[in-house]
Amino acid sequence: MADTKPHKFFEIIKPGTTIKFVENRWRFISVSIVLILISALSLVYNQVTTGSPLNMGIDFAGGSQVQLAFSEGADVDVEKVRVALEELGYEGSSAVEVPDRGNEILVRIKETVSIEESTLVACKAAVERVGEAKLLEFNHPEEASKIFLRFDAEPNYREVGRLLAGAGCVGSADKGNTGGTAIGPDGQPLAETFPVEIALVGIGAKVREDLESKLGAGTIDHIERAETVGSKVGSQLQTDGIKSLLFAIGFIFLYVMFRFDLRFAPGGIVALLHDAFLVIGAFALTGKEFNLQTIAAVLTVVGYSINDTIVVFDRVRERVSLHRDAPIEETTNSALNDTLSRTLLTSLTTLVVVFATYLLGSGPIKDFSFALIVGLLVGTYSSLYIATPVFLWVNRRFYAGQGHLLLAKAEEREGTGTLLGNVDDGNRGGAVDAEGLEGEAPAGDADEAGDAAEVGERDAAAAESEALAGARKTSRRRRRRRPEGEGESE
Amino acid sequence: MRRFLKLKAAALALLVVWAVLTVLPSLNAIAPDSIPLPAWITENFQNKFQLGLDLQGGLHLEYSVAVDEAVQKKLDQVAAELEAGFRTKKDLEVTVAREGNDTLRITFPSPDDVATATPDVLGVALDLLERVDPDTGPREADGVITLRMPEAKLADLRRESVGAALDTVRSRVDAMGVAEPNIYPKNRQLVVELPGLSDTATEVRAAAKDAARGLTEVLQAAGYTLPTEQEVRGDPGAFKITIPAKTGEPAIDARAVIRELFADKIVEGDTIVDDRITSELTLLEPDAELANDPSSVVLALSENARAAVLDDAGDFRRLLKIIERQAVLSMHLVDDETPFRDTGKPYLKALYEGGRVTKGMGIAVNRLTDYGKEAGVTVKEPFAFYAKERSTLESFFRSQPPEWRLPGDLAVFYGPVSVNTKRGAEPEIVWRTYMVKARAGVTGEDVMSASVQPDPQTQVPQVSVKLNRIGARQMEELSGNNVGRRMAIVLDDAVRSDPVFNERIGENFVITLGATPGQSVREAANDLTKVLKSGSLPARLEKEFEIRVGADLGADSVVRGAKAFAYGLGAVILFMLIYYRASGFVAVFALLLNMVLILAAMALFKATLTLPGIAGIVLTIGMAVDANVIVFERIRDYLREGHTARAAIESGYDRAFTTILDAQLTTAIAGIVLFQYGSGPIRGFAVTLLIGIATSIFTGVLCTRLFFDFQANRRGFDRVSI
Repeated sequence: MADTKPHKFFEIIKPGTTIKFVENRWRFISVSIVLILISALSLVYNQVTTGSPLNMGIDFAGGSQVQLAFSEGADVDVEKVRVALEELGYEGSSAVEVPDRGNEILVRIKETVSIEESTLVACKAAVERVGEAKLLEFNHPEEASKIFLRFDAEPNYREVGRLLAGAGCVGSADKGNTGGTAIGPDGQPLAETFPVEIALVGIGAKVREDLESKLGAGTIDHIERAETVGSKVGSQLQTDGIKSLLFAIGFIFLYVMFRFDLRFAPGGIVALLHDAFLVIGAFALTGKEFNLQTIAAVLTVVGYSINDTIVVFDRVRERVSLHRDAPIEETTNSALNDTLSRTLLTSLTTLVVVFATYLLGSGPIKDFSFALIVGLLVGTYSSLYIATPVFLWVNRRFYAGQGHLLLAKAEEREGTGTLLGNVDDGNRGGAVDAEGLEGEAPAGDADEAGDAAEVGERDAAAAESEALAGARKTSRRRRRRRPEGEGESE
Repeated sequence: MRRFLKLKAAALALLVVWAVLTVLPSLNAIAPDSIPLPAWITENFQNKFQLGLDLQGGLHLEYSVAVDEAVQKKLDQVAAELEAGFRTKKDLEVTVAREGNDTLRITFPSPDDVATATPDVLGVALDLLERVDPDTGPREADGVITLRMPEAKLADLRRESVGAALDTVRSRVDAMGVAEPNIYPKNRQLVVELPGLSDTATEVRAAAKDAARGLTEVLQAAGYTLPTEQEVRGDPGAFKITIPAKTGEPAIDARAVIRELFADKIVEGDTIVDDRITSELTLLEPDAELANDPSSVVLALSENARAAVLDDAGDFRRLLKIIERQAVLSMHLVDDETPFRDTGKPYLKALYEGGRVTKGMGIAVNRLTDYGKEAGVTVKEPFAFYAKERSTLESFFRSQPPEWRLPGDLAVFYGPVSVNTKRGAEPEIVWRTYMVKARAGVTGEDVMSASVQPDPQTQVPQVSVKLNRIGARQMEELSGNNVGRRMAIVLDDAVRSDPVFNERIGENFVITLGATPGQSVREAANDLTKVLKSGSLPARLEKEFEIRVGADLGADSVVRGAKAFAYGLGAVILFMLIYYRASGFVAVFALLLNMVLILAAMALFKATLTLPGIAGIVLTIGMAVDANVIVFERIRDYLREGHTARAAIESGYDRAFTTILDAQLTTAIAGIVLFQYGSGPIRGFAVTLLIGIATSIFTGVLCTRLFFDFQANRRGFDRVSI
């Protein structure tokens, strides 16, 4: 009871839509170039004005960690502190509760303490002698929030603190960690020395003052601790990250080269880098904070970009192997149109999710979604306007009439032609099957008519509708059976 | 392809059920009691994923790095190199002694030899130290060269050792898998934050609460009304039980009541071991405040119970132990021969015969059997001191007056040994002394690799260590010159074994391990290899304090984010249903199944879900939708070309499969590389991405096809709603 009415679909992109992607590529490439320039300029501008190309978060740049104890009865919750910090302009700050100590909150900010060299010299002079105790060592590691002292006898800690405060190093003095008992060469402890640590108040006092101006005077009982912290992303992690990105690019290149064709590989990589760079550029331009979550977002964009590009390339590969005699620009363009509805659908659905989180989310989630939105937009666009033109350019520039670099020898034996459909080379009949590496030797029958592919497709389809018994035939098999490898004709 | 459909459908249904059951306990742990789960689920599906630091907070630990120790170790190393340099290049026996944190003194046999100290031998030291001629102490004219480290260098070295400690800790954490902690430096400290973990006090308090509840239940069952429990300030593991007297009756002696109730369950005087109470409890002696109030009694968790609480607290506690472990490995030559000062006897023998060891110290003196080798040295009458506790021995040696102290080149080390104290009784672990050369012959820095291997005779796991070229050369020299002597293998300040050199040995040797409470030998061996591979910490880590911290992201913003995600997902689902009609249902099913499968896989791996991890999930959702879109668009293409529905579905799936596979595999390559080389959050992202790729191929291609095949098997099937 065959129903012969054609199927009806709900479609966004009508079949037969022909947008001239390839023809108009230069317009879009120039848009990309402009965007890349804007990104690069923002990075340079930020470098010049703020000393850092991106607004690096505490994850990268380090900062300070202040543990504040709020007064009993003060109606303060962590959300209020977060809002207050944001309003006060502490960018990239975070506040977390300390659940076991009901009214304490740990605040992390990017600002750090800094002490002038001259102040340090004065401070050192001030504590050369404290009562009976003689100063053995005075050490202030760069940017640290502590000064490490060592005396030969136990000093009066309060006195040390008072003397230092007088010289400009305000902080609380306390018995320091010994840093390990000094063990002499004989394995016995050395004559005892008395370490003292000065926790500089600096940044803690500022945060307290600022917060109290927002939350009300007296809400903060005292500063439990205020210290400088280093970056979470150590140099190790940074080199690891860069290394992994380079390796990933290398392996993707190899995969695309073997699975598709060498001339597809650069396009995928360029599109991927283009997308990642524009996302980073968007962060530079908007001055949004760049942190570990942003890295994750950039990685997501990279994953999405290559995925999207490969799907498009897959169709280009298929089209090109079907229409070897048509100009490659045309086949590529129709491949792009074929996949257009899929490209848009996928991007739109993913964008819907990400856009919802952007609109409704807050804080880091919002920034994260922002990165993804930018990435999805440029990722979709780059598959069409960056990856494909690069592929065409590589094909024309390096491969004009030469066939597959890696397969050149095999092609000669097989007598196949080239991906470049309309290059007439009398001696070379047949065509390269883009999937040649899969071991599907093209038939290479040079005498077939030019439009055999179309005919073949129909024939196969007809054969199939007859043999519906359920025998499985892959499209690949169909193509194999199909008269293939039509000759080069004008 | 359209065969065994029922079987396949059944398998799919089973998978769905399994995945949902695996995910449920994790969701329950995140939002407790939101979905009451029957016990059989929680018991059978114990693996859970958990939320990362950014989503739920965790434990914040601060370790101070013993930087000065690292500096001293560095100087000792330089000293050894200097001595060796003078020996080989100038044929001169000099002694190099370290003083404090920043000074080395080279003492020459005669003042004339000072001239031999040319830059080619001193070179190893001059990177770090400056040659000075001090006003006080011995001078160069006396045959002593003084080398001192400038302050700036000292500061550099300290900073470096914090950095090195950080790298080591990070690589150890990465070796343990997917915990995703935050690790960052702070002054001379390291901060380690682990997700989802409570601090010790909280864990102990919770255990004490449980035990207290058990105890009051027992008391109530025995007829005492309303016993009250109260936390004791200062000790989270202690609580006070008060048993009120019934009206008109005399006050109850709570202590006596408890003693009576648990009469046969009390061991070692005052520890209650009873199944009805979750942990062992110790009855504490009444303090001044309680003496007047016999109706109250204070109980506390026993030491055993506290240790058990922390051991149970899961893998992260084990991770902490691994982080804290210094893993300093060194090999020292045992020296039972060198006479002590003018006594003519080795140190321990001299101490013993000099009457320094007396009864009541808790130290046993043993004369060990002679050891040695015909080809080499034979050591006669070695002595060793034994004690139950290491501290007993340590304080004994520390309390010796200066005339009984060891010279600088020798040292006393300690190590645990198991001894049969009584015939037929369980062997007991006691500590003994080892007399060794203070300077290590070979150090752990020269370890190239380590692996767990069973002892060929006993099959007990042991750690086999391979040294690099430098270490192998040192080891050869050490063993070659000392055949017949013993070598003490020292790990983290304790001697693990002291084999005799039977012959010259090279790069390989083994470390045997004893069982420690709460850890099997195999586990101990595994942990040790991980630690040895990641390198030793440059200096000891001392835990300064721990606090629990809340989430980076406010609960509020997590909830809002989750809501937004749900709305977005809802919109996608709606869109798919409109766009693909009936087939849209199939796609939506695949999408939801994909999410459940990702979460189930994460629970199985006990992975940690962080914001970057969620990014991975969003990406895979995009790709899962994409897989369906690719398939459906293909099918539409074939339908438009006039193929029958069956043929279109077959070809559509087949052709789309290669496309999807290519796209996903390319993305997977990125994922694998990121997992391999990345660390921390990058790894977390890679894990969810890889899981997502696997599940989205599975759901997008295989699962959805099942639905179409079911339709296609119907007689007269010729239209598909797509």
